[in-house]
Order: sequence, then C-alpha cells, then structure tokens
Amino acid sequence: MKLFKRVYVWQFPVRMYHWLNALFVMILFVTGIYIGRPELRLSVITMDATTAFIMGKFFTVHMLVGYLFVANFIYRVYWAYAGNQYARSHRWPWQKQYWLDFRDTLLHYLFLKKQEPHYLGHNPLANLAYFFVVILGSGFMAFSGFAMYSELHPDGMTGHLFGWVIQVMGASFYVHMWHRLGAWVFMVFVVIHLYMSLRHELFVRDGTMSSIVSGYKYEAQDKKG
Amino acid sequence: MAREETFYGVLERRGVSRRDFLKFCTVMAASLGLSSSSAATIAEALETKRRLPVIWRHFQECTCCTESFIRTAHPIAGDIVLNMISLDYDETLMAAAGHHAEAAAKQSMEENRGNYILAVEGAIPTGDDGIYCCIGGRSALEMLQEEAKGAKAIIAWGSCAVNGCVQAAKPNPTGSVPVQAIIKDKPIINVPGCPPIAEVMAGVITHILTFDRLPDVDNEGRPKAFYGHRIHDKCNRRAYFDAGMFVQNFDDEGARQGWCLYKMGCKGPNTYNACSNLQWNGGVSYPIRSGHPCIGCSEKGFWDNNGGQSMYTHLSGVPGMQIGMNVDTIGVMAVGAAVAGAAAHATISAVTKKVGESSEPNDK
Ligand code: SF4
Repeated sequence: MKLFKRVYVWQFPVRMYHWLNALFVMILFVTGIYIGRPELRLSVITMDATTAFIMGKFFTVHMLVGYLFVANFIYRVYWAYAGNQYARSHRWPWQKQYWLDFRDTLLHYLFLKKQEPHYLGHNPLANLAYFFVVILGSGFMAFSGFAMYSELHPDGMTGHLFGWVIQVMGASFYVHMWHRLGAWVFMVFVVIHLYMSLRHELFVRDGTMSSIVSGYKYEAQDKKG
Repeated sequence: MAREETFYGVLERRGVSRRDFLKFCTVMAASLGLSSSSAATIAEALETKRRLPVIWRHFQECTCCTESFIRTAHPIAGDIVLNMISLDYDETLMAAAGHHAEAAAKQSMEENRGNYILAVEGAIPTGDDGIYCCIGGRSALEMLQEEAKGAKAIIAWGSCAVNGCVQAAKPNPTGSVPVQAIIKDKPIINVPGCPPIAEVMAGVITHILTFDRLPDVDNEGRPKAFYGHRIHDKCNRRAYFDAGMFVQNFDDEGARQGWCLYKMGCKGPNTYNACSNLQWNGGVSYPIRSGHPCIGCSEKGFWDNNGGQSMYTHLSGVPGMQIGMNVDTIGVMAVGAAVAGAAAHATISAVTKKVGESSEPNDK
C-alpha cells in the first residue's frame, strides 16, 4: 500500500482559464473553419440575402469569442504572477536546466528511460507545448486575427496597432493562411494534450484528469515532488 | 518640344472644352478623396504649372499598364498621362527610336536632374547580371540605377514594378525583383494592379502635379486614396457573402443570381484596390460584377496564392508543401498523424508497462 498526499495544484482561476480557453478555442475553430470554407448550405434556393446572415453570424461570433479568448489569456498571464507556484513556469526554454529536465522526460516518453521524472505541475515536455502553442500560439493567433480584422478599415486604430503584421507576413493572403494553419496546430495540440493527460492518469494515477476539475493532485508519499 | 506648355494649353489645342476640363478636375478631386474645393486647386495647377518631365521605362512587362490608360473610355484620363506630363522617353509611345530615343532620355535626365519623375513599368531581372532584359545594349538594372539617381521620385506602375508579378512568380527563373527591392533612397510610389485602373494612374499624376508632392501612401507605399480598401468591402456581391450564399459552380443557380464568388476563388477579401468603387472602363464594370472572381492582381505573390491548384481555389497552399495541398488538407493530415501517433504510443506504453510489471514487480 502506498500513501498518497492530496496537493492543491490548480487554483480556481487556473481551472477556469483552462475550461474557458477550451471552450473558446473550440468555438473559434468551428466558426473559423466555416469562415474560410463555407461548406454549410442550409438551402440553396429558398434563402434570401436580405434576411439570411449566416456568414455574418459566424463572423460575429468569431470576433466576439476572439475578444473573450484574448481577455481570458491576459487574465491567465496576470494569474501567473498572482497565483501559487504551479500557476507559472519555473524554467523556460532559454534556460539550460530546462533542457536537461526536458531530456529526461522525453527519454521516458520514447521508452528509453523507465522512470518518469515526477512533476506535480507541468512536466518539461508539456511546458514546451504550452510555451509554443498556448503562450506564443495564442499571441500569434491574436495578432494575426486582429490584423485581419483591421483590414475592414486599415486606416483605423486597429489598423495602426496591427497593420504591421500584414506587412511582416508579406500580404493579406499569407496572414489568412498562417492564421488557419495556426488553428490546425491548436487542434493537433488538443489531440496530444488529451492523450497525454489520459495516459498520465492511467499510468501514474495521480489524478491528473480530475485535477483540472477539482484542483487536487495526488502525490505518492515515498517520492520527492 | 513645348516643354513649357501647360496641360490645359495642350487640351485647349486639342479642342477639349472648358466644361470637360473642369469636370475632369472634379472627378480627380473626388477620386483622390479631396474636398470639392480642391477641384479648383487642381484646375489651377493644370492651367499654370509646367508639365512634369517624365522618363517612362518599360522593363520586364507586358505593357498592359500602358494599354490600360491609352484605351481608357474617359478621354481626358487617357490624355493625361500623355499630355499632362512631358513624356520625354517612353519606347512604346514615342516617335523616335534607337539612338535618338536613348539620346532623348539622356537629355531629359541631364536637363531636369533632380526634377524629373521616373516611371517604371515592369520588373527588373537580376539573375545573370540582368541580361534577361536589355534595352539599347544596357540592362534594365543598370538603367534603373542610373536614372533613379537624378529622379525626384519614382512611380512604380503595375504589379511587376511593385511586387514582381508573374516574372517573380515561382520559380522566378530570371531572378526578377520589383523597383523597391533595388532603389532604397528615393521616394517610390507603388501603383499595383495588372494593370492599374487608368483613373488611378491619372489620379496619381494629377496629385503630384497639383500639390508638388506624392499622395498619402499606406504601409506598402500605395496611394491610400485608391488602395485604402479591400475589393471585398465595397463589392456589389457583399450582401451574398454575409448571407452565406455562394456560387458553387460557374453554371449553377447562384452564378445566375449573382451570388458571392468567394468559393470560386475570389481574392477580394485579400485585395486592396479601387476596382469595386471606381470600376473599369469609365465605370462600366469590373471582374466580380461581370461574374468572375477577383484574382487579386494587385497583391504581392498573387500568382502563387492558389493552394498550388488554380486561381479558382480560395484556400491557400502552404509554402514548402506539395502542390495541391491547401492549409486544410495539411491541417487534417496533421491532426490525423497526431491521433495515429497517440494510438501507437499508447500501444507501446501498454506493452512496455506489462513487460515491466512482470519482470520488475517492485517498479513503482
Ligand atoms: S465576390 Fe469576392 S469580393 Fe465580392 S463579396 Fe464575395 S468574396 Fe467578397
């Protein structure tokens, strides 16, 4: 029999960010896919452009949720400072120690190392994904998204704030392409994220899956955290 | 010849009425986004100012820009480029040829050093020392560098001169580049389009002549008055876009009804130009109104923006990926690969765990 200690890892704001983010990303993905590729055709003949507003609605929802997504993200950045030790990363990809830890975890996932290094918060592998997809990726999606939004009125405030993105990427068309590719990267992330947490839940049995609802993880007592 | 003559003098001699002249000034003021009182300023400038000396170079191009304005429906807009400016060199339109033509260019360059406008139509090949475009034994690159030195400003006419257009499309065998890639120390005004609209070309020249400075430009050096909005935002089919009513086929009911051409590859949402408000041929029509999707001819790299398929697809390809794969194909493949990878990893994990448990019962 092993003893488990109950540790409060994910504070409420972190969990709330997580679930809101999951919801927003899914809504943004679905509406975005339609905006770029409107396959949905409710009816071909009976629609009338004076009353139908399908693309318009998808567009409105995409913009609205886009703003919420950004607000949620900013809130999470704030919480990285205000929250407990698990609410932020202690190591970053530009630090050497990070890559040493990363190597150990990676070897385990490549089946080359039996023991999985134990982390109560995020392990370095997950950190890398969060850094590139969640932190940089969200930023990228927000900037490219607002750049496209500003195209409605390039001379306006949004245009002045985000117009440079279009220039950096070359032309409007490329911004659309990278934004869409970014959306797919998020979906790849979702698949891997789900698999990894499920695997962790089953193999390590530390309550990973339930922790994002309850906030508690379980740590075996005979191990160092 | 007649270098001191004003534009209005030329028009008068050609029998254009005062009324038509003023009408033209008003149209120009409106299309440049100026107040109606500036029509008088424009008229005055055209009546009193000396014509602008211009050297007009044709490099790697198809002359469609010149075709655009010499065939315009609006008589004065056509005349403008020919008469408002003192066109000292333009191999397509000048009477002189050969050495005489080159001598005229040289003479104008020396006489008007620091004052002339260099108008460039066409891209500049840089591959193999620029031998792919030579005029009078000199390469386009050499000529551009020399003539830009004494120019007051450079007008880059058309997509070739602005972003390379078809010459610079992949794989760009002649190493063709736009003017702005070579000349860095002169004001350049970019007037993209394949070709640009005649009224836009006339508007740019009118502005320079009237106010002695270049018109307001955006981040990419394009005059805001004409390139400040997307085709999409002024498109006459826009209501159908917002409604979600799309042409699926060029011969379907939607096409007959004039629905949005987005799914037929319309690049209107990515294209900054004046087609949807000024329209072509004196306001007769423009591609989308005539039933063809916008191909985005004034945008950088529009020949390559096609998902590797054709101009009739609106989803872009991804650089470095196989031809025919658009972002969505790649996205679906990536998600599929992630699922497959997770499944494989799960299987191996299960197997190794079992092996591990039976051989080392004390692990964990
Ligand atoms: S036809 Fe093209 S420019 Fe016009 S609304 Fe549709 S997508 Fe936009």
